[in-house]
Amino acid sequence: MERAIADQLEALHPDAFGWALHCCAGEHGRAEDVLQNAYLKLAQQRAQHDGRSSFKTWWFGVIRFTAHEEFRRLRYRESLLGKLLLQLTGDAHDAQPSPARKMELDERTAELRRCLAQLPARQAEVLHLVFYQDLTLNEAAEVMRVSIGSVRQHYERGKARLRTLLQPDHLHETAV
Amino acid sequence: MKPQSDDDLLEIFSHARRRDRDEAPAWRPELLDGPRQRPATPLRWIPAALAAASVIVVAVFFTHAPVNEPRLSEALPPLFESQPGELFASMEPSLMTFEAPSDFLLPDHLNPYNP
Repeated sequence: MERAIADQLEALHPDAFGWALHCCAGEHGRAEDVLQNAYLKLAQQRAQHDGRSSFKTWWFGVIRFTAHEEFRRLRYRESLLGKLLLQLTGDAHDAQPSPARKMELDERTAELRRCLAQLPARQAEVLHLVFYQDLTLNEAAEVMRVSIGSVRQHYERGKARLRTLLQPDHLHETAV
Repeated sequence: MKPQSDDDLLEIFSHARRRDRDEAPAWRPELLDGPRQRPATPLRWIPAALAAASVIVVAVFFTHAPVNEPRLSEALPPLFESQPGELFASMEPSLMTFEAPSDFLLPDHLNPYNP
């Protein structure tokens, strides 16, 4: 692999993990698997940057797609047939974060995750890409593979809804 | 109307970003060097092999199973195996044996049964 690409990947690694974490609904173990599989795709040249978009938006698109693949695999594992096969192969493992891991997450981050989880997936994605990853709406549209108009709509609605969800009164209601 | 500032959301997301960076796994450049070798799991192939073997056994059973059903010609009633002939031939009266109730009115030379 070219040195320049490896350097870019290294620089993006923490943010890529944050994006993978978002795509995996905050599940640390799954996010690590997704990111590792995305790196594997690059190593095996199953994903190649063609230069039509910036490296970061392309790479985040790969991670997003890999997370969706992983989600489908997880759904299969949770099916009856999948559970049976996993019992036979002895490959079963718990994808949920450990209680210790949950304790490590501070309350504010957990609260943000809970609120984002209540938003439609597209709204949560665009908010993460803009506020967390510091992407523009155009770049977010490239990552999400939707039009800029659609992204703008998700962005505005998502912001309004997230603010409502983050209000202390609303948080108290949902907690009760 | 002044648009609402997004500083509140930026601050919350920035905090989450800092937390996640602390949690991020270390960068491993060896991941990019070549395909990752999956750990060997000797039992992984067993379900697939069992499924394939089952399919083969079922296929062989159905292709080579003896057919117990009799052939159609054997299953049909013997009516269709009788000798071909005129239908109701046995019921038709012969001219030589036919006796009409009015035979006694015939003159003697026309009545074959009258001696």
